[in-house]
Amino acid sequence: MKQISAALAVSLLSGAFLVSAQAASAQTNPPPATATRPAKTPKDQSSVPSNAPKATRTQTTGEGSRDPTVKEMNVKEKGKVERMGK
Amino acid sequence: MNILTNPSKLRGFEKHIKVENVSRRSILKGLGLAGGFVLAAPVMMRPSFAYETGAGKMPHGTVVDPRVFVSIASDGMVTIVAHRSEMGTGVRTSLPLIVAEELEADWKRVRVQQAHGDEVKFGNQDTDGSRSTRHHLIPMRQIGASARTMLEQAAAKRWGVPAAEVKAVNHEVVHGASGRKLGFGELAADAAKESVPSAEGLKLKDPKDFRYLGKGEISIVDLHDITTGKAEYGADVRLPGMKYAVIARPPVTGGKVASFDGAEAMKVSGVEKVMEVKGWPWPSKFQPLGGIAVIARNTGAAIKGRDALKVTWEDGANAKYDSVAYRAELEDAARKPGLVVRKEGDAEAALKGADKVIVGEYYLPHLAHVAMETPVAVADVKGDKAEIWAPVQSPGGTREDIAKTLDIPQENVTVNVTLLGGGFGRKSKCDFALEAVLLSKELGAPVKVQWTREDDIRNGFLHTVSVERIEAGLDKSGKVIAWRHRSVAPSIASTFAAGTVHQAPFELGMGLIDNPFEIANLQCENPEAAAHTRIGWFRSVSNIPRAFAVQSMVAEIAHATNRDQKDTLLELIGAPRILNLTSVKDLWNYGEPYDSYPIDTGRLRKVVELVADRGGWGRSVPKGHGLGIAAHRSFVSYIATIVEVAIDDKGKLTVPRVDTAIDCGTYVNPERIQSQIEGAAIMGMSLAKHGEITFTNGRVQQGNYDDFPVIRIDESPAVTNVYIVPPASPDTPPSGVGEPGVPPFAPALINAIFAATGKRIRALPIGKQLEA
Repeated sequence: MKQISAALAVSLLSGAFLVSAQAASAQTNPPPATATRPAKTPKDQSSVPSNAPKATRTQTTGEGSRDPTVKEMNVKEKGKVERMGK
Repeated sequence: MNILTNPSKLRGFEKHIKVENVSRRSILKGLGLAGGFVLAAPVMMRPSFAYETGAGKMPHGTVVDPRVFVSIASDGMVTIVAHRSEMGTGVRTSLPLIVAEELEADWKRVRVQQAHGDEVKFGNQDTDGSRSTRHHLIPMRQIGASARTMLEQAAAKRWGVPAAEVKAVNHEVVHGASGRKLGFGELAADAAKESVPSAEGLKLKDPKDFRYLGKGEISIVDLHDITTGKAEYGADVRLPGMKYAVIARPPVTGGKVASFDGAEAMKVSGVEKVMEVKGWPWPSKFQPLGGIAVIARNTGAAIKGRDALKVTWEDGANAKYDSVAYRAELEDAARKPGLVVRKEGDAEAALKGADKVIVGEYYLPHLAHVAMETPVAVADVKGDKAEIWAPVQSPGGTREDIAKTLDIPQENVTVNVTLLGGGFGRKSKCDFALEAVLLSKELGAPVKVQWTREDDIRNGFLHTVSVERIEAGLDKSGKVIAWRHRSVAPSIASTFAAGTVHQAPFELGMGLIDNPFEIANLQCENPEAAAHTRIGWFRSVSNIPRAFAVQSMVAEIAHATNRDQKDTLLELIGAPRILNLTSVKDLWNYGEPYDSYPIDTGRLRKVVELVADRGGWGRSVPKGHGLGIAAHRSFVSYIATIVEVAIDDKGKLTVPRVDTAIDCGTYVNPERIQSQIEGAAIMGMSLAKHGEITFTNGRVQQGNYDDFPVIRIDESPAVTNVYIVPPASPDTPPSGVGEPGVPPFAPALINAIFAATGKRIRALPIGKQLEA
């Protein structure tokens, strides 16, 4: 009985070690993109050079929508949140 | 309290309770089977509230008509429609349960049907703001009572006796004098011919006769399916001939596609098409960001195809958004005067004359919702008709937005609501549903748009970033005589209006201008802060940074004056009273009338005293442990939390115990309150310990649970005790439960850490701040 318990303990310890090793490995070597895991940063996506100014606290950057439907949706939603919160 | 601890209570329920979507087809089918309660044209009845709520001011208000919400089949099966979305709160059990209570229906013979999006028929369906029970307790009772009265009237006519002599009892109508009984099914057809009673003459049950409400003995109707994997979420929906899509969206808010090459993506097995998706300039409510869609025979192929895309983006005006630089700007602004939004006395002068001034600056970064289920939607657009299946918190709003986006009548849009695998406010925004209808229309086929976790974190609507600066002036006795609170944070309104630099009234009303402290000189300011990403609602919204700052400052004052945290908190709350905030120009009270839901400091005091008593405030704790306390009013509920922390020599933080007292007025299901508070403790712990979204060059730097972690079981609070304050009377208005548990958690935790270690954390997340 004692021997079985000891064996079990060793087995459990080994398992714990394996789990730790896998966790360490996962942190340093993230798995590649798969069918269900997308690439962390798609390699072929880039941006054209930007001359945008620094994003500051006082400089707003949004555009007023020129689409009348969206403009109306914006106004209506803003009115709703101001009245009811969300 | 957890129903799972007593499985015998569940037996017999699961096979009778079904949750279904009410599509137009199923309603017609149901009618044919029922032949009883006929769903006629909806009638808006004038509700007779014992108290007033803001329900009537919500878009489309409240519909109180039993013919819309209740049907009874000839076999006696009662079907009750749940018109709100189920995202874990138990709402599609709680609201039908209220109806069943008043109807005298036997819950074992009730099935629940999920309503589709139709606010003309069902009234407002926005499942947010912690207001489902608050706005619908009385209307749902009226609906149940109306249906019960109609059954009683039908029975009385059948027997030729006065209606006053009959009574509905547990799925039957009984004539007491003769002992005659008729089942609900036997009466359904005749009851349907009765007129709907007027709200004014309706007799509601005496709460002492409640069988279900307030008991906490009914499991949620979805429990069996959720725990056995049978529950259907958005991703589970599959239609014949359906295409699968993922979208590469602009990495910077306001950006757009400059050019793309889909040739490599098309080589991926299963990929069928690569196409551009229309986007709208920001801000544009919940319209899609646009980008490049990859259409495939399965989602895995679509993801692989997207990885192979070559896209060049034009980043636009937010290309230089940087979290570190922006935080410095917020801090700088918080040190200068801003727009005054509340002024009592003269805080400026009192601070100058104070014996001691304590200053605290508190930082909360952007946060992502990271609901377990990422956004997903299935759409089928045929000609001028659209049908969609999606986990949306706002089915009525989604229907309206789809109709406008496709330029078709709302009547031509059917929104089927699936279970939500968490919402937290993210799924109030229907951009993912709009993407699906646009693609389906373009492809002429049903389409599922699946967001990955990376999409969810990088292209969502984030919780705002904020700096809260509080200056507290003390006199020689240590009494607080001045309080100045500057709150600087981009507003949610920036998502709808370009040029927004100040917080909207509803944000100011979440823990800033509604400060309940009894301080003679109190001033609140809101300096400018422009948004550089999409800001959206997040569970508890602005209450999170405000409670963190205010309740941390209370503990800092206690420490500076060598007093107890709880005593200091009670002293600042002051005497029990109803606040009369005449100095506030535009006080937002969670959309509720102030007469029904005033700021009552007596109730706030009570939860503090209750949690201190039951939570053992002041008890001795082992070395390395500490206790912290915090209290907050939000969503018109009052809540106080004590957190016990344990911190080892290496700075590892664990939470052995949490105690929370909540006063949410009249309540329906205490088991759900318990679960919401437990969930809030876990979410609060996750956010406080790990939650941080950062930006570099306009791009979100995090992408998944590895760099935006949610706590796991070993980090979760070991025990969360919940104490619910009984309502003062049956007419005490119900208040919010879903959100109020989150705000006090972080400050109670941080105050406990200070008690244990002497380290005062003023910037979240805690991260590695406790290490060495």
